[in-house]
Amino acid sequence: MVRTATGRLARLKAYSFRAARMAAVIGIAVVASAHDTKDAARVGEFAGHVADRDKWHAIYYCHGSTLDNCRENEHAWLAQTALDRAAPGSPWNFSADNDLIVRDLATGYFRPEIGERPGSSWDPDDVMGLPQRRLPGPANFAGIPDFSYTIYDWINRNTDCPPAPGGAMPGGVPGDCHNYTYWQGGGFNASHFGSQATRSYLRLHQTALSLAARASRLRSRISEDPANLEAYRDVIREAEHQALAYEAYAQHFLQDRWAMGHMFERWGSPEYNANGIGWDPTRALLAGGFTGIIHGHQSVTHIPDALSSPEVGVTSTLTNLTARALISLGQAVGLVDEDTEPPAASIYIPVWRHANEEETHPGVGDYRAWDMMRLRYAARLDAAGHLLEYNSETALPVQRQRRELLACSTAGYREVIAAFGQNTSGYGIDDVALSPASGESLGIHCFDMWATNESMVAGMGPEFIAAGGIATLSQALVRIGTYAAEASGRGSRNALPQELRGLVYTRNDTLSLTRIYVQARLAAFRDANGIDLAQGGLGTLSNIPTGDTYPIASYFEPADLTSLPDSDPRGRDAETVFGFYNRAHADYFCRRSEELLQSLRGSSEEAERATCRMLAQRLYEETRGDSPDVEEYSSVMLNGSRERTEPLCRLASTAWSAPRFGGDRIDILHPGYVPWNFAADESRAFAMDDARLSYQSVANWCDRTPVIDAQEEEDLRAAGVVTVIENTRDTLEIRGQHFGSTQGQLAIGLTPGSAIPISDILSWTDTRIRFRVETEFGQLAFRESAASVERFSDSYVFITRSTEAAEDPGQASAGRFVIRREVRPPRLVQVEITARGEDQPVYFMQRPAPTASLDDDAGWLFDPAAEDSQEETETAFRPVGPGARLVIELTFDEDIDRDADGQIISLGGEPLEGQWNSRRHWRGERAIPDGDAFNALRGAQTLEVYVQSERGAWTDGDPERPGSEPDRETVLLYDRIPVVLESIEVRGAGRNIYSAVWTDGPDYEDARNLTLAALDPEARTLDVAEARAAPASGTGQMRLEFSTELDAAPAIRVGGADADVSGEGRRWRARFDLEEAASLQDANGDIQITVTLTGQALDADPATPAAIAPPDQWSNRIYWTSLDQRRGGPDGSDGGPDLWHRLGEPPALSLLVILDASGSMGESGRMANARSGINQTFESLPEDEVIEFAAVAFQDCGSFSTRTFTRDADSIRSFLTSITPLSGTPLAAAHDQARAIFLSQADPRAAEWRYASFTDGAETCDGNVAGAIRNLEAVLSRHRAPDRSPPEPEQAPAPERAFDCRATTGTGYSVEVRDGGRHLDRITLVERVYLERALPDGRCIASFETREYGVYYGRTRSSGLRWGINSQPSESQTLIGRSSRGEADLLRVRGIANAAAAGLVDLPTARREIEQAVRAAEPEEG
Amino acid sequence: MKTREETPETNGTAAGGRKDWRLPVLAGLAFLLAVSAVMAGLFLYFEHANAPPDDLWAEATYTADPGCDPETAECDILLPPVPAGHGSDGTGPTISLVTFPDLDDPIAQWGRCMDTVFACLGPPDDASTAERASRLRACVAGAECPQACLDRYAGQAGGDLDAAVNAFERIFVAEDAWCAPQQDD
Repeated sequence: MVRTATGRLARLKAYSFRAARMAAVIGIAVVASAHDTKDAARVGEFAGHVADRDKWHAIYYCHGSTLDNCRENEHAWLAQTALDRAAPGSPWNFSADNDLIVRDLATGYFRPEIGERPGSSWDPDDVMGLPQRRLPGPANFAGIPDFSYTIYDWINRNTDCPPAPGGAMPGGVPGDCHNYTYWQGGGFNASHFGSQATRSYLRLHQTALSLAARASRLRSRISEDPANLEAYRDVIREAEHQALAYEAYAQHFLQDRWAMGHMFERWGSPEYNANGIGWDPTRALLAGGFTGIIHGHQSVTHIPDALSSPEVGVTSTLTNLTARALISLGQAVGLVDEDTEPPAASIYIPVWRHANEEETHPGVGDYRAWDMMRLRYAARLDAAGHLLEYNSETALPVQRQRRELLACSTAGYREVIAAFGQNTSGYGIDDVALSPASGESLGIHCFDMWATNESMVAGMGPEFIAAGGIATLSQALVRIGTYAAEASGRGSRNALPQELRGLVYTRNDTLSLTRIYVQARLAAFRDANGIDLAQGGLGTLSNIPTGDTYPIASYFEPADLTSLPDSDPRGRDAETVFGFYNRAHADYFCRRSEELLQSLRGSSEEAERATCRMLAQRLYEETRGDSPDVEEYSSVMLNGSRERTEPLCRLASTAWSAPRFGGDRIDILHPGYVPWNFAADESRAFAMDDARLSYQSVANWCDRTPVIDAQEEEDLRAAGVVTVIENTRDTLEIRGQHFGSTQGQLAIGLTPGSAIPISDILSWTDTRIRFRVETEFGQLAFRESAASVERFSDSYVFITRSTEAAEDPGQASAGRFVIRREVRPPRLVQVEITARGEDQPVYFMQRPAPTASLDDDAGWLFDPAAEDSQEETETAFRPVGPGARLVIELTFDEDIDRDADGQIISLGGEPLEGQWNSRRHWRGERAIPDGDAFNALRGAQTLEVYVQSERGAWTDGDPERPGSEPDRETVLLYDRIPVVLESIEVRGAGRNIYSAVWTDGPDYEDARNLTLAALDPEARTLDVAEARAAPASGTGQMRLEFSTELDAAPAIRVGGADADVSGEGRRWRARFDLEEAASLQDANGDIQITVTLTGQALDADPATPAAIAPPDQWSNRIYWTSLDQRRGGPDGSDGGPDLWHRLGEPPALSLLVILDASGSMGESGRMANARSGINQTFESLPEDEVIEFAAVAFQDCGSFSTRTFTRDADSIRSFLTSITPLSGTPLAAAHDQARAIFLSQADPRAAEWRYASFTDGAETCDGNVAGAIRNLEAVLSRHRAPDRSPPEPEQAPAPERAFDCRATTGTGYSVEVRDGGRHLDRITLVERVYLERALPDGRCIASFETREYGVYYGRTRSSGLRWGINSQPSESQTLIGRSSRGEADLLRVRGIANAAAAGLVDLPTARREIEQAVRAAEPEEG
Repeated sequence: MKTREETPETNGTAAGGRKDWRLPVLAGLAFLLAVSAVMAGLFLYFEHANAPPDDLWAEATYTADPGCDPETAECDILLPPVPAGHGSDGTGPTISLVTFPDLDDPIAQWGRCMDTVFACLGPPDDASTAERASRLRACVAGAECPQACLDRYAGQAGGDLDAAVNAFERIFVAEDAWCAPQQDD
């Protein structure tokens, strides 16, 4: 049964006091339920945060939830409902699409004592001590006025109380101002009623509009550039969020204004010290208490009451409860139908009307928002986890209230969103579309609703309406106590504030209260639908006027937040509001940046360091690196590329300019703040700090890490050079900032960990350090730089300032500060070792000019590729033989301190005797022993050189390692050149029976460089000119020629005969008995000739010429490659006997068979076919010819079976036909094997070398088949059959004309000045370099290079005349002359160089000429 | 040419030639004082004549004990303790009303007076204004109030509802109402 106002009060008379009392007691006894943000802080996951100071967490009550799951949080739910109506599909909801994180400077920096309070499980982790919070959706802020008096109070986590006039505070504790049963409910809640609520909303709505307009302006400026927009999108979002949050916060008052229980002017002011209340909280409680009775006590008793909810008749409630119990019991025993419903209770719905309308409308209170939306009502009672529903769902005719409330609330949002400004199709940064207005507007109709007089009386309670009610009331006293004490008399009042304990109001208060009831009854009697009671007609309650007589709460935020003071003791200030929304209010911090950052810089407090980074990053624009390595700028990644952005401060504030911080600017950052990764030797520009609050460079600026200024010269500045070591004994000076006032540590090295501390510190101030490096110079590590006009090498300076503070995060420098070493270690640029009497030098090495790839790399001497690139360098490397007298000449690139202690010039560990011919040239000698003494020395002998330059640097043999050390790159080989039996001729019975000569191969006598890399020796080929069977008797004669002179006669054995040997030098003769020789024949009937040397190494296998192996491969006294111990055998230190020559009938054919025995040959009978082919091959060979056979069979990668040459055809045939197929197919390797067998094992006398291949498939072992076959066939094609006719004598080649090739290098300079008019002279430094070199093949080459370097100059007020030479040439020209093109070509270049040499000067002279030219040019200041 | 010595002295003027004004001023002040005294006397007379008699309300015979234990016959609970605000956890302040059935001080007498009027009036209904005005006059006439009050209302109550209500409010309800106890200082 539903009844509305007029004429229904009579029914309420039936309610008895006792029933009402019982209902109230029931209500108190039950567990409080969550219906409102007021209660949300004490239930569910918020149960641990019931203390008033922790209620600020309640704003997260619906965070991450859905609308349907959050309707019991009525204010947030209503706010979200309206927001969704205004902007359907917006990202602003409980589960925000845009996760906005704030790093709260309000409680993290300005009021750290608040931020240090424990967080909660739904707070993200703090960042460096700064509270970091995920912003809940804006609608959540609608709940704030129920647990914080403002948003800034919420930001400050309910720590402070509203500011009172004069800063005074009332009695009680500060927390009482957040206690709903104290000041907040008794006093401040007045802003939620009647006209106070209207004014509160309108004020805060203006604040929201002002913030929205501000967000619009911010977006307008940022959106001009896509990169800025990408970088600062969340800044705009935060600004819009703040506007919407303030609107939601404001809408709490609008929502309350529309709640039935708030549609009247309550007593009291939302302030302390209001008229009639003063500082007395008991007066506020009196006003609040009786306001609450009218408002409805459902919030307290949880019993539906008139103005807080449709009032349910208590009698009906009890009847209903009883009936339910009986029905349940009856259903349990089967006496009552399952469908039986309990009787419906009668309910009373109060009414309201607009001030300018007569029509009244039913309305519900603030505990029935959800019922209002669905227009249905079912009173509920929550008891200890059980839901008792004690009347059935009933229609609730509150359409008008619902429609108008939502229309007004939606209109509020619409105005704010529209103020964000038009975007593409919607509004604001997220282009949110607004729904059609549907008549929504914020007019007077949103604020002129009042409860009727009859409803007001109903709200006062039936107990006072019934007969005797007023009389009883007039006999009453109002008491304050605790519930337990008042209900049972047993409770303690000590829980109450002192001033409230046991308080009893006076009879005056009873009189005032009774009079109000009388007035209400009288007003309702006169005009039941009047609204005069609600509009202030209740009069004063114990001298406390109604809220319409008071101004709006002074603690509310102003309409324009920018008028807030910076700081206020109660938190109503910019530091709180802007400190929380600090990105949206970046302009505020930008304006205060100089003051704030000055105090923040250098702090060791984590929160202050974090704050500094956040704020400084907003000022940061770029690091103007004179070197591109440290160039960095404010940027964002946009579409996969880094795009430059403007500093946020410039966008957030008009006419803003960055403070300069005494020259240590943050907008244009010192390059020294950019961190450097010394391990990888690369910049860490754009790297974010660990907390991802700023670039690391900005963090370093905040921490005041030491930074050193680069030198002013352009080339030094570009390289980040802070000082230059020109002499190790010089005093060096570096200037910069944050070195510390007392001496710290200065270290030099390539990495911080390996840097060497400098001990000789002469002076140390915060901005300047003077020091010397002489003591540690030899230990310092430098890295060679690319060649330039002037050579240098670099290392890094590291500074760690001394500090007395317990913690100094920026103590150590982080950037790259280059210390340049222009005093280079003296380099051994040329080593020439000659042996007296020999044409070729033993060793010649000339180091090229240092380059990034070749400098100090001795490997090039043994590296063919490197040598090719150094074709102008005439290297030499030959073994040092016994008895030689070596002349050693050393040339350095620096002037040497010839008297320096500790110099070393030694060979093989023995100091060399010698002297300095000049400051850069040393000459000495060494006599090499012979005989056993030489043999004892045989092998590597290292030339060790350790000298000090006149500028104090010692030789550095290994620049890659820290410190200096001797140059040990020159290694000599004490050994003799292996001997080769180059030709042999045998005669018997008056005719030649055998002659053979090795062709091709290196010329050991003429070659300057016998290293494997230089020789790249071509395989020798043994050409057998004649080969016949030896006569059976008589005397055989033999002539032999060796590659070098022999110390002693060779031992020669022919078959079974020892030959008599005579001769000397390279040529020898031998005689032997043919019959005796034939007494020993091999299996083929051949007579073997064996030649052996004593005391000299004989290359047993001349087919593979010997060459000096790289020194790092020298071991076991083996220094040569291919110095074979026997034919086709391994290398040895002394070679072995020559077994290449045999006397006898030569074979007609050397045939090698290659058989593929891979897995595929086992398929489809292929192997059988191959065997058949092999058999046919062997069977088809002529039987009357001597043929030798060899075989290579392969079964898998790297798996070969071979048979060397033999004339036993059956053994080879048997071998081949017994092979079983297995796996892979190394076809290429098999041909290589075959080639090796031919070269070392095939009979050179054979008329023909051939091979046959039986295979079915392709290479499966990654070999180059075509190349292998080509190489094999080349060997076969070179083979020549013995020729019986005597060879024609070779025509000696015409001697080539020897060029007068001069190994010379010369460099000179000239200065050219071109008059371009006043101040326009063009000054050029011209460098001319001439170089002439003889190449190993006898060619001569000359180059003449001209480079022009521009000179820049000017004059400044501070430093006067300044000039410098560009590091890179502006013009470059090179002339090359080659003897291979004719002598004239060479002479032409030489002539040009000679002509240009006149007038050239050295570099210092040229620099002086440049300075004169600059002075003559008289540059102006500029 | 006259000299100073030649200037004749005038009666009523002070020595040296100045006029003595003190006498008229004092006379004027005395007159004003007399008029004020007469006016105050008249005011007090009319005030006293309009003031309720000292015995309008009977002397109280009962003294209430504010610290009494509730739920006793002497000190009954009118409004059970209710927390003074939303969301209390039961430990905060509560407001309660205890009533003393024997309390008979002027406020209680006035309350009973008002109670009898409103018990007679009943809840708002749809009656006409004239009917309600008539009912108010009748209910007041029959109320348990001091006769002087009833008489005074009967003399001042107008014919229409507003006049009847306004007179009731003026005589019985307003803070300075003739027939309502005044607050103690």
